[in-house]
Amino acid sequence: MNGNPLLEIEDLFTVYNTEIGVVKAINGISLQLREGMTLGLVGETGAGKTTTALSIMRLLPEKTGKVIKGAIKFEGKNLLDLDEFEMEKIRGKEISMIFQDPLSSLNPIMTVADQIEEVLMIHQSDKKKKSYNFLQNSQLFLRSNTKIERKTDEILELVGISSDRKREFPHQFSGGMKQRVSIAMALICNPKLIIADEPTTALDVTIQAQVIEIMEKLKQQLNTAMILITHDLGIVASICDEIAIMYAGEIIEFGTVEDIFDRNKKHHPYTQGLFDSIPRLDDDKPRLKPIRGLMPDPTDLPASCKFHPRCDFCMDICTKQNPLPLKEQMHMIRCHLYSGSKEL
Amino acid sequence: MSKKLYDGLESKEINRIKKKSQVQFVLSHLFKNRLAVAGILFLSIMIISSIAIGFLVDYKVIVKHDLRNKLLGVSARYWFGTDGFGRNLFYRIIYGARISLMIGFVSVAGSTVLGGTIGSIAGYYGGKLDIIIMRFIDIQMAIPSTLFAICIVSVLGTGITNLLLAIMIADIPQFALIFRSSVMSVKNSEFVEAARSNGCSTYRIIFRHILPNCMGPIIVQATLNLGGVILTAASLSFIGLGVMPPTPEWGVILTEGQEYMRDFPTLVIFPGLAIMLTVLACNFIGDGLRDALDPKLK
Repeated sequence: MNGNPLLEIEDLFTVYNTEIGVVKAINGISLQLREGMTLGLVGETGAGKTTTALSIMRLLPEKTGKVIKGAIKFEGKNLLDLDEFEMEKIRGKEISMIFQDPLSSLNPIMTVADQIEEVLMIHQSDKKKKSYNFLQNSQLFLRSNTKIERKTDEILELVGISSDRKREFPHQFSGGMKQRVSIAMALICNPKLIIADEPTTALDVTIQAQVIEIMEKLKQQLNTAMILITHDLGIVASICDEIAIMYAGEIIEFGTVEDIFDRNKKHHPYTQGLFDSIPRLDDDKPRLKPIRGLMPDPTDLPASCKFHPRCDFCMDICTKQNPLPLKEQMHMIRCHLYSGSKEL
Repeated sequence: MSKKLYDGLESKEINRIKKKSQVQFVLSHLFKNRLAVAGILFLSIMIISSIAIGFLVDYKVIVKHDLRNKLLGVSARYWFGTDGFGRNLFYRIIYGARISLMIGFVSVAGSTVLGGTIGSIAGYYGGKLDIIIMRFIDIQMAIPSTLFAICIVSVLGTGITNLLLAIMIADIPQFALIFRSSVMSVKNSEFVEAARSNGCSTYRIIFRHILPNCMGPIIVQATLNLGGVILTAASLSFIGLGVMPPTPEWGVILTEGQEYMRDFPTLVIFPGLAIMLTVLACNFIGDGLRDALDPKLK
């Protein structure tokens, strides 16, 4: 496998201190992402996927969200040790984020070009230590910086939007085009890592395909690493190199696409359940088999295996003890089913 | 062929749109609204003529008593007639626009900035700071603003500056409340989070992303208040707590006209009309601006 580790998450615990109690959103996840690779984070709503992303960006809600343990190393630096000012330099330049809903993630009163240029301008002025000129950047004045403008045109053409339309406002674009604009915003500074938080969930299927195609093309062109958060296993299969399946704030199975999608290999019962919940054309089953039950209450998680109340293969030990991860090369499973054997 | 023609038209259209800046967009939209245009026209005529009268007519003429010509009707020489002291009512009303509009603009600008700062801080940072600030605002809100202004004037003494200060302070809570609620509603939008994820600083997020998105209600409130402030100033002067006679302020002119109201109603109708039309003009402009500033209507 190629590349050095770009992002390393070590034993991360994140909680939300709310009025009803402490919500344990992430319970000790460890991840590694190498340069140019794509990692898919898959799981139910509330599994902690978005919290993971926000922890990396240090954008957890200020008053409630808190990382209580662990380290997030980006190129060897622990992001959790940086102060807010250093973090601002990393956000958008080194790590950028694509949000779920393109309808609301663009500022409605700034033109598309202004929003893209803003990202460039922030990080450029960092580099040159030039004092920031408010008037020059203002919409009311003519832009003198043609270099920035050219770069904006380029990136818009790259995501498939005619640069003629860059002086238009977000509401003049369709949903898919808006998502392409936010992809352009995320890419403009050539970040090393993009976190895409369900980038296709709010789009319809044909547009989903377009957006995925663009993301894949750009990833190959720019060699950017990506964390793709989604519930859509189809998208994961088409774009990701590695997949982490999350449940109740833990990674319960991790592996390459081949490991996870190979039905003949051993899988966590939850992964099995996820695949059984997808309709298949070649199967003649009259009904889908959903996973019974609901996610456990995150304020009151079982100390043992968090999936055991819903598991068909639940054993005595499952109710008492949290399983340790079992590894075979890249493939990792956390389940007592396989804990008898030393290897998978 | 028809497609080609259409394409040609479209690119021309795009070029035309591209050449327009944001300000031009807003202005062109504003000028499509007839009421707003009427308001702008009326206010500009008022402002220009009130400035011009300072150069054309000696201030002494405006305040000098001329009892031989008192209480004359409308005529070619005295357009609005003369008041109880024989002064030209038209001159006095036009000159009065200087004071009334000045008080209006300055105090609204002042309370927008002060209230805006307080409200934005409370709305953006929230928590205990918000609670403390808002309780003070609540206390002030409990006192009717005219009464509050009267209190301040009676402590500080009468005069234009004190009147201005009084009205400014009395209007702070309204602006603080509006800024706070708009900042709070915009603060949690996804685009603010997106801006933060692109590395924007707090300062930048507040001034470039949050406040511009709050402008609609604030501009409307400011223009509505402009009318209200002119009214308050006039009423404070009317009860003798604001501008002192013989300075030609609209409230003062009303007070002076009050004793002749039965026999010479023009003495109160004309200053009343001046106040009413100015307030109305402000409101029309406010409505027009609100529509023009909303990019969704473009």
